Amino acid sequence: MDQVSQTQEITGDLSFREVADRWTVPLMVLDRELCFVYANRAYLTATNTEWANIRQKYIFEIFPDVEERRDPVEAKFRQVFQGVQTRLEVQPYELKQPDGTVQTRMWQAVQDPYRNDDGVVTHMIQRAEDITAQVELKRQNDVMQNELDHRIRNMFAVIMATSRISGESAESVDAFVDDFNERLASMSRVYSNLTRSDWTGLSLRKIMIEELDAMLGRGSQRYTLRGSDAILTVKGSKDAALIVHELAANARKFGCFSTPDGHLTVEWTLKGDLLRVTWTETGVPGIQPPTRVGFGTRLFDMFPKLVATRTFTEDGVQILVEAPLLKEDVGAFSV
Amino acid sequence: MLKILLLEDDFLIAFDMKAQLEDAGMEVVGPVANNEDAKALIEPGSIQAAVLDMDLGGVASFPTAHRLKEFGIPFVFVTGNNEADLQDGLADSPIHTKPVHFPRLIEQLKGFANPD
Repeated sequence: MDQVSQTQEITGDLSFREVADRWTVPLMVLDRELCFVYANRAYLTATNTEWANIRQKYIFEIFPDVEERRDPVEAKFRQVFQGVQTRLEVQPYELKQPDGTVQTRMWQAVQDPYRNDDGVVTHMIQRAEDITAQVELKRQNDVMQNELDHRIRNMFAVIMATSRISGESAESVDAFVDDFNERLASMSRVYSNLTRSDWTGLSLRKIMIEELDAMLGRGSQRYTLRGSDAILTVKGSKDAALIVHELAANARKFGCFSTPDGHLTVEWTLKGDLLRVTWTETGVPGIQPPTRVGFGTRLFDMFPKLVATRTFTEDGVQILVEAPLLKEDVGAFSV
Repeated sequence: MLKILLLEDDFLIAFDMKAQLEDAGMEVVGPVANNEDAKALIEPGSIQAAVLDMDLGGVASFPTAHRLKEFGIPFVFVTGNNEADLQDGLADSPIHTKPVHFPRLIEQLKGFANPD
């Protein structure tokens, strides 16, 4: 079957003229003089014109425009007759839906050369492509790029702050490198978990398990957690992970994780929006209050809404932490 | 001693900035992490300048900035956003991008105290 008969078979008694007329995509054809020889209904509706008024008319007579805008368009149309496909700038277009609502779509007019059997471009066919989806995608992409840049800068600021904080309290370069890298590793765990949670916030229990397992190995028996779970805000998740990390690091240096028989029990209750956490280290007889004030100790002073008390017992140490648990991030220090 | 209000919601950055400003001989009021807490600390004579993180977990610190303006207290914005847009009335405010270059920030804060 040759091309022509195939076409005829598909169209049946439907004429191509009718298909073009009723096509929802605006379509028009200009001759070499840039005069209208065809426009479908969608084009007439989109441009608010009637065929009788534009028929055989020079396009810039119908759509007179200031020279600065008209010249580049005309230059593009001339290019089409050299055999090049061209595109005009994206235009918003309000499209009336069958149900009466109006939808704004982004159109881009695309001009194609139409060649006769001798290969000469005799006409220009313009169709309007609906590129709403691409425009929206590009917009989202730009927003994301900006947001990503913002986050990376913030991240660097946090890393630099962490390095200075670690440098101030470390006793040697080796100790600095260890403290600093462990803090970064803790942050990276929080960030990847937050990303996985779509930045909705993490569970308190999961934060504790992550931080303690990172230090003690997965499924470690050296700690016990008791308390019903709560989902923290994004900020609350970051702050809680930091506090748990610092407490655990202190426990390894001086507390229950510094001896084989030590054990940690963390219990928490939630009354209204008040979170009470009891961090109890046992199996470390003779533990002494630290002689110097480290980052882990100063940390609690920085959260104005958080109350922490530390009591040294015969067998270890107990830290009681009370903090308001916020449902939404309002930029408040919260755990 | 120069008293500086610090509004910054990231704990580690706030902790570090407080230490840096204190090392430079300033007294830090705060840090606080939201506009309400910040505004509660602004009274005539309570502070000489302020450092405001522009983005507090999705909330802008502009209300605090406007309050400072009312009291004629100078301030600087700190932001990770390179193309931050400043609202009307705040367009001339100094901006330091994160990570902050501390010597420049400290120099500017000291300049607020001795404007000559």
